[in-house]
Amino acid sequence: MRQTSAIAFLVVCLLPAAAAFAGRHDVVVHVTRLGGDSASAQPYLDRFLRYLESQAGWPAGSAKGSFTVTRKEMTSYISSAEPGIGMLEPQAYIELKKGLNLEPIVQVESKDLVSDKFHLVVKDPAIKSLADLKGKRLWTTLADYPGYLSKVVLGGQVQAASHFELKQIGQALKGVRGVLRGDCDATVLDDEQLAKAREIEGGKDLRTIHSSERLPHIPIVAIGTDLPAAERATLIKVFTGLCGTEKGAAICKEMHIERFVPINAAVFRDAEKRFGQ
Amino acid sequence: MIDLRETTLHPVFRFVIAKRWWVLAAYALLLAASIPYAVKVEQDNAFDRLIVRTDPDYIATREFSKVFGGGEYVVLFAEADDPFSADVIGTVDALDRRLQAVPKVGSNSIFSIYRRARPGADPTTDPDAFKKFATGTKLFARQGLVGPGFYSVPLIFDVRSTSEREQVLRAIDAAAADVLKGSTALKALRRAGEPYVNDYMNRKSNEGGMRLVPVFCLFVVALVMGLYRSLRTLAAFAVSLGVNAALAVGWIGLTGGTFTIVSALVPMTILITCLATLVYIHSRFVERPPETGVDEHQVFALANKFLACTASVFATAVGFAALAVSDIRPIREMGIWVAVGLVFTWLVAFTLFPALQKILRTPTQIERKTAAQWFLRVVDWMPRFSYRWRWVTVPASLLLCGIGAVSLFGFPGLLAPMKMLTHPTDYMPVDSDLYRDTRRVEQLVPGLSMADVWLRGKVGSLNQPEVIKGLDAFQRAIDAEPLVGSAVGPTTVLRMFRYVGGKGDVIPDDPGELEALTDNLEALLSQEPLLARFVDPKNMAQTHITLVTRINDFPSYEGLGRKMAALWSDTAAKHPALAKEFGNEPPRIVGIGRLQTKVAHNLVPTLTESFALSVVIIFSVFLIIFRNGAARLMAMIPSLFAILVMFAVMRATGMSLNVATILIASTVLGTSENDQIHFFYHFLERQKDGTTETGLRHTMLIAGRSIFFATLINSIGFLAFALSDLPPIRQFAILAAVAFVLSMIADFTALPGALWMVFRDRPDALKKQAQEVDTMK
Repeated sequence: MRQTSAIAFLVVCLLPAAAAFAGRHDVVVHVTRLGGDSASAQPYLDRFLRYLESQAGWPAGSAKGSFTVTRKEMTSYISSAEPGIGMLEPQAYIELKKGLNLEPIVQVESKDLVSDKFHLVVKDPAIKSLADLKGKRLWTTLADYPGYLSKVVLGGQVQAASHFELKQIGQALKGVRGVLRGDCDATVLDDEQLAKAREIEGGKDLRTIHSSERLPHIPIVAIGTDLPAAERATLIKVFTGLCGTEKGAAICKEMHIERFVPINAAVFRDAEKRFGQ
Repeated sequence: MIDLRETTLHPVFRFVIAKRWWVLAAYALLLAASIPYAVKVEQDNAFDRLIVRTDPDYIATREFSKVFGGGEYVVLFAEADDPFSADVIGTVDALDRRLQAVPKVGSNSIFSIYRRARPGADPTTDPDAFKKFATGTKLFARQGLVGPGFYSVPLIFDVRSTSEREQVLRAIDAAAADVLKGSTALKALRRAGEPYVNDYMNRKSNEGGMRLVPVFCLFVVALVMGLYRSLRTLAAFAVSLGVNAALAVGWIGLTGGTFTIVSALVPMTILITCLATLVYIHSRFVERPPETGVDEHQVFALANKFLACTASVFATAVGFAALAVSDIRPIREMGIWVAVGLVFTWLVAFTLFPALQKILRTPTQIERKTAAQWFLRVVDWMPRFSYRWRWVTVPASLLLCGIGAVSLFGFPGLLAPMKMLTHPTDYMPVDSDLYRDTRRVEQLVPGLSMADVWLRGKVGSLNQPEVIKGLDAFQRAIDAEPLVGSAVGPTTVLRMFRYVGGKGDVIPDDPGELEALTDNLEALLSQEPLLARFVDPKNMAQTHITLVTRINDFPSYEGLGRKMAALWSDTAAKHPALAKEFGNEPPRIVGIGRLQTKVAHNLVPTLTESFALSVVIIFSVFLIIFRNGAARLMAMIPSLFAILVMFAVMRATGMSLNVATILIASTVLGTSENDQIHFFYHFLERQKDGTTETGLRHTMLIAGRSIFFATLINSIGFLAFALSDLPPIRQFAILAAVAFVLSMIADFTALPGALWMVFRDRPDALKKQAQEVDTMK
């Protein structure tokens, strides 16, 4: 009887801890360049999570996750599901870091998903500087993050929300075609996207009028303040080895991830500094 | 009696014979240069070789392929009583996975879609979930991916050569055989698709070619030995024929030519014409009078046959060259290649062959008696017979000509024109597995003819949400058309992705959702190979809607084009973004299906045009050579008779016009008019100073036997093609043989009968009797 009571006591005491543990393993993914929507991405994310569980030694099925396309979807998921881990676009990380207590753990290396630099690209020869774009239409995947766009990408030269007529787009090349068609006046591209843009009919006429400093890559972040140091160390170890096995490489490839590497602290620090944190 | 008067040709042939070793050396050099090019000539029966490269529809189809990828496409059909039983699902899933592993091959089966949509999910472990997925929308059934009692496994692969295609198909077959080994889950696994048909035709053409060569060689040996009874003569014939063939095929290789189903007839047509020409020349050579020396007689024989042989080879060459007006590429190529090959024939016949006659000391009838002495009795009999029956033979042949013309062109209200067949399966034997599979598959899916509605807009047109909505409406309107079996386009794929995502299989109306959908389209392009085949990923300016139909004639395609224009106009009125982005002009229909019907549609004009041109050219040749109005007209009778009666034979035996039999008219005209040229040349040689009877006797004596043997050569030579596995070639062979015999019968009956009528003459004996009666009066 005493033994039973002791077990019951332990169960009652440990339940909240177990719940907190489970919550921390839920994952939110907000990477615009992955494409697709929540439903179509879910099977890929589930496979990724099952593998993550197996590598981290978590109970099978303990991690849940959601792929979110927009900022609104992401914040809504975070506030409702309170996931412990996020794979977020750097603009989301920088803008939401303070409010959500985000802590970067590792960063993603991927040709398809990350951008080292952004360029502000126009076609109209009359537009030569950021000032010339005052009141003009800017289509970008960063429109939902005007603070990041203004301070980190554009170096604080303009307040994007007021300087441009901003429109959020899901895919960068849509902005290129918008510029080429005259539907908008400027767009924001990284090096690879710019190279692709030049291959589009009329793309040779595109010009860069501003280039950003080096930008942080997509971080894997811990959401909240309750990640113990040991758990953090474990996560770093798990993630950096995740794509190293044959099975892991295949799963990472499905997510367009080449590997996870430790955070480039200097670049993150510079970006955060420019943002004013 | 032979006229040995010296002409300007005599010194030329004396020179050729004197320099015979130089001639031989020159041909040896030419032969060495030709062989490397000759062996380069490949066989390729791909459909796109059927149409000329300048055809606007062909150009459009090629441009279309450049934008959307020009991979080859085959479909495997797995038939089973219960497609959703675990056993069947397991077998087809294993087949699909195995086929995916074949290098260069991509599958787009419902199993592949399921695995892409549900990563990690296994249809074999949860067949119910798979069934729910497969039957939860009509999208998959509309595409023919799954249906009552079957799954289809569409396979796309990129190959750059015939041998590469062959390798991939063999690998697919091996993979399928391996998976199905010992399995009883499927009722049948069927194969369909143009690459299989092309592969089949290539194999059968090659096998047929391999059989033809020994048959033709045996025929040459039998003919030469039977006629001239001399091994030396046989050697002269064999070397001349070999060199002629090598030069002709070498020239084809030099010009980068590739043999197709009909152009494989080229070497044989040239060889048969060459053999006939050599027989004409050598038959004259062997008729050496005892009092004339061999050298003197050889020069005479060459000079005597020069004009007739030159005229006949030239007329045949130009007759074939007339096929160059055709829009059907193999027919155009065959015409040009045969024409060039016949130039080589002419050169060989008057240079190499005389040199070989001299070097090999081929015997004349003095040294060795020739065959067919019985023909002398025919010579005696024919003039009288043709005179007596002229009022029967001439009207009867004209009547038969009329029946043949009606058989070909039809009769308004009574008989439809002869049917055209160009569908690839029409070239296959009905008892072949591939034929049976194709016919069965046509029953399972809404057609095997594919065409594409090509929409060309501005950069980023497909990024516009309103365009996506409009395109979906346009596609659904097309899909509802009775002429269309099914229509698949980019919005089909988007709908499929929405279905997979649990959002239903329709394009949304909500502007925000539509906007997200266009974003998704862009992202999915790099991930989803199926979608990438519908949209040009760079510019997002072009797309297409693939139509699967049972349409098999060009007018129906034209009708579909008009219907498409009306649908476009209606849809664009409701969705102005379509007109803004793609213009008001209706989209163009392109693709192999339409091209096939166009080729079929052009066959008759091609036939008529090239045949008319051949007639004009040959008529002009006759005019130049004979300068005799009556002869000009009469000379055409046997050929026209043979050609038109042959169409009646086709109609009576249920044969159809196809890419091979369409060549019959020009081939028969080009080959059989040789006989008429020789006939008239010798007829006029004697008739101008004598009577019709003496002209006919002289003709029969000098040319009759050669005509008989040339007909034998042509008929048996072409009949060798009857060994082909391909029905069109077999039919061509039989019809050509029949036509040559018909032409010869007309040569010996209706033609002399008509000459009696035209010259208003009577046999000499009758005239003499009449004179005696007059004298007695």
